[in-house]
Amino acid sequence: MKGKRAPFLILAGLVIAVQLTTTLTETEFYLTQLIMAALYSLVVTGLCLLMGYAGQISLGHAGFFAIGGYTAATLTTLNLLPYRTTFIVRLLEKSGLTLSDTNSWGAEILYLSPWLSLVAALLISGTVAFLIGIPVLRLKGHYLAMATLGFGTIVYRIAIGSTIFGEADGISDVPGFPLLGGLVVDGSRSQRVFCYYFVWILVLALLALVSNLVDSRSGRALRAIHGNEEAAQAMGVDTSRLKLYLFVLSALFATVAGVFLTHYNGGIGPSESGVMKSVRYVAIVAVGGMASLWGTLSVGILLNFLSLRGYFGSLDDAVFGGVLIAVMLFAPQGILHRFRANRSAEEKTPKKDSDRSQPQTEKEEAHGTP
Amino acid sequence: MALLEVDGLCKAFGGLRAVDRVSFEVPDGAIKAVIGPNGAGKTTLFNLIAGSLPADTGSIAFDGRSIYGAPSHRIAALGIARTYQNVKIFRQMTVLENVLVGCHTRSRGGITACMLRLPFTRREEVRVRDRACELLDMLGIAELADEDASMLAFGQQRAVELARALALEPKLLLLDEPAAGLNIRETAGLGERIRSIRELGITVLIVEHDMSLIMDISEEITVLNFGSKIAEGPPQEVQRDPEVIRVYLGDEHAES
Repeated sequence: MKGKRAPFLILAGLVIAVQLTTTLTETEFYLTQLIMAALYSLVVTGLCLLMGYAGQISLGHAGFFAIGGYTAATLTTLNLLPYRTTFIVRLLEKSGLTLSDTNSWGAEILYLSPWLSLVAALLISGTVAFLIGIPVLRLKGHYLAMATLGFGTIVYRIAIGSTIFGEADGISDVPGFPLLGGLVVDGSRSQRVFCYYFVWILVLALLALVSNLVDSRSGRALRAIHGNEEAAQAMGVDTSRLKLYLFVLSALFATVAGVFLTHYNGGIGPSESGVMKSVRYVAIVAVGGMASLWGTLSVGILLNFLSLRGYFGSLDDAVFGGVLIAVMLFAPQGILHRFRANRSAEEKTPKKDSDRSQPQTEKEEAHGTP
Repeated sequence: MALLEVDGLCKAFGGLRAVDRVSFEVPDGAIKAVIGPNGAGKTTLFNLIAGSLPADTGSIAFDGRSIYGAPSHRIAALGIARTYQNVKIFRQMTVLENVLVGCHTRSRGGITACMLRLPFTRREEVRVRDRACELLDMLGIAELADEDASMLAFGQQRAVELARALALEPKLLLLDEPAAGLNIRETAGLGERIRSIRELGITVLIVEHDMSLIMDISEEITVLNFGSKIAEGPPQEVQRDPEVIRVYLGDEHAES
């Protein structure tokens, strides 16, 4: 158990160290991209569970991210003031589920609490994942990839083709997400350090849950699906139910990320639901080593940070596509795995010898004593 | 009453009748064998009993209740465990983890409970780990516990598969050609092992090509040919059955 806690402590230490360094060197602007990268890494954590551990590919996770983001954006940018007299709005207002503010032209607006829209986003996304998952998860391998790709494309088309979702412009002027006290998840400079810690605590918490799962009864069952689905069933694992549950769970991870990133950015556009985004998530999980939470997290943070800082320029999507091809060709089990394999191969030769010599020495001692 | 009762079971693949109106019983506590030439439908029969394949018609009753048409995970939960002819090990999992999956039906932590590491899941984890280690000890592969199971030698993988099936604490164990790919020494050990499994109160149904093993351990044999049952009885009787000899050795041997 102690060995499992170490990476969490190291990561927490790193998170604090980065914040202190940027504040001291007055380069806090880096935190902005780290906040966004952390939220994207939530998507890949969920996908890592689904793809790396349970072996079920999804090329539609940008769709779930977008469902989260668009639900949050639509519901919190809807001005309720004209409907103030209606029963529902009055009820919401009385229950404290609405917020009021002034818009950029100084007019008063009344909108739905982001907390409520978060719940709505989770419900909608979870339901969609459930309904899509039932037929789609009967498929395997390439067929599953194609089906989920189709789902992602549908979400993209709806986002770009609907007036309420702002068509190609997306939705802007999304208010911040008030957490507690005066702490708000939004893009303002005054909240930056807070947002940074909030998203990283979120990442650490969800990562802890997932890492608990991986080494448990249910975690082993879903890894067994990957290892051999027929045998998993014969061992009493209800594979279709487990896969569906997992699909919904990983969709919810993407939804949470979509909701908070939309509030942080103050808007969302159709590119977030694009196919290339889904490919990017898959590439990150693959480079991270498929069934490796920490590999996926590190690769996800690194690549997303570089991409968001604009290091890849107009080749952004090409970099992720290229990375995916390179990994499949040269290190199908991920770069970390390759590195680890080389190292353990070096260690193994002497280690095996010592393993063998140990019982021998014990025997010799045993012979020696009488 | 028999533990397993199969009656009039049929399964066709297109025009091929893989299993054709097969009926037999496996008495509680027995070691029963199903033999027959290649393509006789033995493995298909196993897949039908275990629910990996849907049958066309017929009935299968286990422990007094019908399991016909039930999904394989439910059949496993009722107490039927199996091994595979070609070994279906869980890749990318250690030997211990493979066996722990076998404990699935004997524990109950769901995804949410496991994520939160609720106290009952921790107690359960300790219990199933102890149980899995016992089984690895029993099958003599305890020292392989932390090895990647897919990297092991074939014979060792067979042992892992057996440990995994026993972890399910089955009433009935289906062994599909457990001696295939084993050397003579390993096969000799296998007979003893199957007997000791029966001593644990587990009924064994075995499909096998190795006649010496079958004649040695089984109390009753069902012989299949082209999907149909052609003979049934104790080993000595089946050995003398002219139809069985004809199927195995050809017509001229049967007449002599």
